[in-house]
Amino acid sequence: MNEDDIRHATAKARQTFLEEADDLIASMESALLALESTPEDAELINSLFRAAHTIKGSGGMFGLSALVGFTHRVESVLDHLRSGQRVLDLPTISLLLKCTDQIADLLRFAKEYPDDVVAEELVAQSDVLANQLEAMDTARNPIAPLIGAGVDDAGRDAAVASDVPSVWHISLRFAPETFCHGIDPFATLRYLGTLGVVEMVETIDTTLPVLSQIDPERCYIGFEIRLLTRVAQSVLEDAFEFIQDECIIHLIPHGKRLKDYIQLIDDLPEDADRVGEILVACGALTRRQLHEALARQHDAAARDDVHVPIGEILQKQAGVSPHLVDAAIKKQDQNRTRKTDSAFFRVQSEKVDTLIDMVGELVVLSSAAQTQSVGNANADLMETIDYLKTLVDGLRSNAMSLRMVAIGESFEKFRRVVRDTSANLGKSIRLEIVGGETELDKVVIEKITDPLMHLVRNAMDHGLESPAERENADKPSEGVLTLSAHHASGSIVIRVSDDGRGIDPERILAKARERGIVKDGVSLSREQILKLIFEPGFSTAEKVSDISGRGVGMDVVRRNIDALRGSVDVDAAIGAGTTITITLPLTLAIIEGFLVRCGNNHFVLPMTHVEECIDLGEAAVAGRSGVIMHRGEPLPVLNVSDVLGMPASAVARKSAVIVRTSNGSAGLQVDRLLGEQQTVIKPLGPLFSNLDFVAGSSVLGSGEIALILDVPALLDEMSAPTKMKAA
Amino acid sequence: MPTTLKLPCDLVIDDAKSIAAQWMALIAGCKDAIIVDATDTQNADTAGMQLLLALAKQASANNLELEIHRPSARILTMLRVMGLSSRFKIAS
Repeated sequence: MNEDDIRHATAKARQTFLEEADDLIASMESALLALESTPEDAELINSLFRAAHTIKGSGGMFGLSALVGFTHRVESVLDHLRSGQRVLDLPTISLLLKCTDQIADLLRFAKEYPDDVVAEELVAQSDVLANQLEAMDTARNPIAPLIGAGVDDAGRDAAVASDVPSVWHISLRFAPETFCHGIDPFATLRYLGTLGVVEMVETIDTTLPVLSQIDPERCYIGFEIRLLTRVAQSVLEDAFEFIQDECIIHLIPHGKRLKDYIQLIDDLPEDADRVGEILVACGALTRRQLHEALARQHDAAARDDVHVPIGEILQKQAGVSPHLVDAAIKKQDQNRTRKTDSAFFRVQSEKVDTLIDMVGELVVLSSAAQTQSVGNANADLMETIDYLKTLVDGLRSNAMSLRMVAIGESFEKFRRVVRDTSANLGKSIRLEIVGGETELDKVVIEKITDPLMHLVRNAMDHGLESPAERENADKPSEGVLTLSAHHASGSIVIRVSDDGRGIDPERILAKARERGIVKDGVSLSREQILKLIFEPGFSTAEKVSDISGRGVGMDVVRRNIDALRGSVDVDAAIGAGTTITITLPLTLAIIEGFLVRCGNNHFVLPMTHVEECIDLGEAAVAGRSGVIMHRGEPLPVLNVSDVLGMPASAVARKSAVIVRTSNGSAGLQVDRLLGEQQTVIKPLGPLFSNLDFVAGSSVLGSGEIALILDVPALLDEMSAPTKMKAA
Repeated sequence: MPTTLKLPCDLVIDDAKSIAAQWMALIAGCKDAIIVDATDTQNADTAGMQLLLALAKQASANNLELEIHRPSARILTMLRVMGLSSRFKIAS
C-alpha cells in the first residue's frame, strides 16, 4: 500500500465514522427524550454513555481533538450518572441535550471543513457547555442512586480506583468477522490479566460447529470472565475500546445484581438451547457444576424413569436463583421461536440512485420491446418479451423498495422540536405519532421535512392554546399534536393535526378581502376559504413570533408540496382543532401514468389522478373549456390542446380523461387515449423547468418524448378562485 | 491404531483454512483415538484454538477419544488463559 492508498483509505474511514456518528447522535437524543419520562432506566443511560464513548474513541483516531475533548467531559458526567454518583433530573437532561447538539455541531464542522482548525466560537461554546455540565455535576448531591439498587459501596465507587479490589463479571461475545478485522480475542484476555486477577474464564463455544462444518475464518467464540481488580470502571471499560465494534460486552460489578444477570441472559446472542448452557454462559454456574447436574438428571431418569428438569437440579445443587433459572428458560423458549435474524448493512445512497436510474432505463426498454413486438408473429418472442416485462416489473419494485424508508424515523425527530418549542412558548404539548411504519421514498421524506417542520411549529404557535386558555375552554391543559401517515391508492397521506383553537373561516375571509386577495362579491366555499391560508403573505396572527406569524411560511409549504406532485388540504373546527392533510406520491422516480395524444404530441397523466376515460362525441369542447353532463352531474372540461397553445387537430372524435385532485374533478379533453404505461420521470432541464402545467418528461418506448402534465395545476387553472372572476 | 495429528508451528488465522482441510483429511476414516502432538507449536491465536475446539467436537461427534500430547509452552498458555485446560485430556 503506498501513501496515496493510505490517505484514501483513511479519508474513507473518516467519512464512514462521520456518517455513523450521525446515527449515534440521533440515538443519544432519543435516549435523552425517553429519559425525561423514565429517568431510572439504566439501559438508556448506559446507551448514552456508550454512544458518547464511541464518538470520543473514533474521533480520536482521526485527530478530531476538539470533538474528543468536549465529548470526554460529557462522557465523564454520563459515567457518574450510570454509576449512581449523581441524580438525573430534567435540568441535567436539558443540558445534556444541548451538549448532544454541540457534539453534532462539532461533527458537522469536521465534515464540512475537514482541513480547517475548529472555529473559535465553536470551541468557546464547547467550554461554556462543559463548564455548566460539570458545575451542575458537582453542585448536586447524589441523593439515592437511580441505578445500582443493591450495589454495595465497592460497586458504586467503581468509577475511581479503590484500595479494596472489586469483582467484575465480564461477558464478551465476538462478532463473526472479528478475525477478519485483525482482532484476536485472546489479546483482550491477556490484557485483562494485567488489570487484576482473572479468577475464572469460561470459553463459550456453543455456536462452534464441528470441524467438517466450520468456517475457519469466522469467530464463534465468547468468554465469561470473573476478574478481581482494583482499577476504576472507566479503566476497565477502556480495555474494550478497540473491540467494542466487534463485541457485545457486559460488565457486571461486584454484588452480582440479579437483574443484571437476567438482563445478560436476555442479551445473550448465541443459540444456547439448554438452560444449563445459558446459565454457564452468564456465569451463574461453572461447567463442572453443569456436568454434575446433567449427570444427576441422567441418573434420575435411568433409576426412577423420571425426568427432573435441569433447572430444578441446579437450584438445589448449585444454589442458582430461581429467577435466574426462569430467565434462562424464557431465553431458551425465545431461542426456539426466534425469527430469522435479518442482516443490515450500509449502502451509499449514490449507488442506490445509480441502480434505480439504470432500472428506469430498463423499464423504458422493456416497454419499447413490448410496443415493437405487437403484431409480431413469433409467439416465442412474444412470450419472452412478456416474461421479460414481468421480471423488469419485479426488478423495478425491488429497486424502488431500496429507497423506501419508514416515515416514523422523520416523525421521531419532531419530538425534540415539540419539546423545545413548547417549553419556549410556555405551553404543554404532547406529540403523538400514528402510522410511523408507513414507508415512502427517502427523497420524498427529505423534501417534505421542511414543510412538515413549518406546519408543526405553526400548530404549536397558533393552533394550540396556552394551558390557562385550554382550562378556560374546559380542555385538558396539555394540548395534543398528532403526526400521522398512511397509504392510500398509491399515495401517502400525511396529517398534522392539533386539538387547539381551530380556524375561523369568517376571520380568514375578512382578512383576505382586506388584503385584496379575494375581491368583493366573490363567494367561496368553506374549503376554498380555509385554503386561503396558503396564499402568499397571508397571516392572521396577532403578533409575529420567532416561530411563525410572518405569513411567509404556508405558501412556501404549498409550493414545496406542489413541487413533489402532491396536494395539501386543510380542515378545521373552531375550538376543536385543525388538520392539515398532505397527499404525496410514494416515489418521485417512476410513476404509473396514462398516455394520451394531442395532435402530434404525447402527454402522460399520473394515474393517481385518473378516475375514468370517456368518449366526448358531440360534447367535445371547442374553446378552452366547457361543461358537460356526466352521470347526471355537470362536469367541467378543459381542452388540453388549447391550454397548451397547440393548434386544434383534425381528430373528429375527442376523448376525455376524468381526473380528480383536491380541487375537485374535471375532464381533460384529448385527441386519443393510448392506455396505461409505466413512466420513468426525467426532470426538465432549467430551460423548460418553468413551463406551466408540465411536471416532467419521459422517454417512450418509441423514443419519443412525452411531457408529464401537472394535473393539479391544470385544475387550478379551471377553478382559480383567486383570479379576478365574478361569482 | 490412534491417528497422530501434529500441530503446526503456527496455529494462526492466516493458515486456518488449510489447517482445517489437512486435519479433516487426516482424521477421515479414523476409527481409533486422535493424538494431537502439540510439541512444535510456537505461535497460536484464538482462531487456531478455535480450530482445536472444533476438532474436539468433531472427535466427539465421531465417537473418538482425543488427547493432546507434549503441549508446547504456548499451547499450555493458551489453554490456561482461555479456561480450556479442563476441556482436553493432556499428556506431557
